[in-house]
Amino acid sequence: MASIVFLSIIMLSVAVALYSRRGHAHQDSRDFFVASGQFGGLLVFVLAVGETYSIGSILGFPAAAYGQGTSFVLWFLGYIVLAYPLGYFVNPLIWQAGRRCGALTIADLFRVHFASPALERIVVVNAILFLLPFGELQFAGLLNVLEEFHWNVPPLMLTGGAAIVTFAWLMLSGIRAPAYVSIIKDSLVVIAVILVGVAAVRTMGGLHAPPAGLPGHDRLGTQDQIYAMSTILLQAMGFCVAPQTVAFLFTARSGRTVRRNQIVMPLYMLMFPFLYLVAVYARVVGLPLPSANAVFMASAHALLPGWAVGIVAAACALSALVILAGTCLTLGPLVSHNLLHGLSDNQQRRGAQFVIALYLVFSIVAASHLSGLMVALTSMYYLGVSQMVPGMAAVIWRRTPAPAAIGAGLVVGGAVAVVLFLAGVRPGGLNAGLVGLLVNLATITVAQGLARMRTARA
Amino acid sequence: MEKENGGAGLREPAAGQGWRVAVGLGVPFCAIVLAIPFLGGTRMTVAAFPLPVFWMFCCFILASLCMAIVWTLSDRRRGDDG
Repeated sequence: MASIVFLSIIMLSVAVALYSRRGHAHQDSRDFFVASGQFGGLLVFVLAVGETYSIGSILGFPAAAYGQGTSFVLWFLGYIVLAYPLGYFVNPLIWQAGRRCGALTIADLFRVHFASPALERIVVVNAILFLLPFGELQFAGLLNVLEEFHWNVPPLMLTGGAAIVTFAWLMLSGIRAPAYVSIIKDSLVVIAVILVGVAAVRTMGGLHAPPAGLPGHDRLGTQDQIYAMSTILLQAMGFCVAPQTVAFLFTARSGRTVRRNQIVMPLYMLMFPFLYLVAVYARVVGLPLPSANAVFMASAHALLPGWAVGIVAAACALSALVILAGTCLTLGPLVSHNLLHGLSDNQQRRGAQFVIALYLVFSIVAASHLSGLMVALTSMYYLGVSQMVPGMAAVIWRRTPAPAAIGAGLVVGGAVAVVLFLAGVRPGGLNAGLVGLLVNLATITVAQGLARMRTARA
Repeated sequence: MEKENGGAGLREPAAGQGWRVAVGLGVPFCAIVLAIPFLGGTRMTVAAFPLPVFWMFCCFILASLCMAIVWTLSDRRRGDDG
């Protein structure tokens, strides 16, 4: 029964992708990547929310709450919820800058605003490097979910099938497909999380204080508190300037739409208490788990009837595929539009589709050999992405420091953050990315000063 | 000159900026980031949640409320001027 419900929902998603093509069968590249900036409130909302609640959040949050407790929960929820009010003020400005620069990607903003193709390339390389592991992670999460069905199918076929569904969505109608599918996905995620969460509470006999020994009973030391605070700050800023966030903002019809959406977004986070309760349940009943990542699906299996497990699994799978599609649509134009200059509009779209196909194959292969490098790159995502904050600040507030200064800051700040992270060093308990960002700002100040001196002499 | 007008009609963007950011971003920032040193050391629980975790859940509603206040009192009437 679970398999039938699951497969029906996946097929429904393809039908919805087909529907989203209505009236947009002949797309130019702007329509393919950013829906010609025509999306209203609902579609921008589901795209943005879809990006936030990945399969990593649904499976990963209860797993980490189960294993690491309060120290993880605080920074993880803190940065997402702070990113919304920050985005309330910043996102309409990014949208406006996008219109001003005629931008399709985040790299366009840098090229046009700073009149620097070199800076554009630095931003592209930075974005691609840190986006690379996203596809693999979605496939790894998907395999985790599909294991629950005990199908006698090799993993490579399962991930291959998922890649074909994603590619089919994108070929049908570009960004419109994941946006429309997100409507089903976001509704299903709420249903799935509430179903498992409520069942967990009922089985525990209500909301009682968790037994001693449960993660979360530990007090946070000063170093943990500094780390949580600095991580929330860094990642909330990084969240607003992430290449996918920027790409989704460009799909919006107006800055007002973007701003109004931010108000409701934190309320969608109200599913996290249910996810937390699932972790508490798994601890209280001593649920046997093959791995920590299995907390959510194993709890669903233990608590719900077959049809409901099918819904839960479909919600998780669609979450993975929507993020995968969003990542593909961010990466594709970064290569075909920003790296390979001089292509015609049609060539850019075709080129991006080729890059997307290549990326899907790469992610499938990477997922079957989950490498240490990819796992490290994922952990470093915000370290790298947040180094674009000073440049983005200059773009949205229309300041024009020397592009070389912004580029130098990005490279030096990113390098410092990565080296500190790999060495496991947290100066004063601070997140390595925030230290990198401070070095980034210092580099910009020095480089800008030198540029001014050179201009004054000349 | 910076003056608050209770949000009744923020005609000057410069005058409106201060309280908008203080309410819309400043309050959530204090509740989320600055509260950590006060909550991190406690072992209190609310229902099945440790107090810091429960507080973070409350911040979802608080953040939404702060943005809604700024929107209702000011930004609803603004165009796409950021």
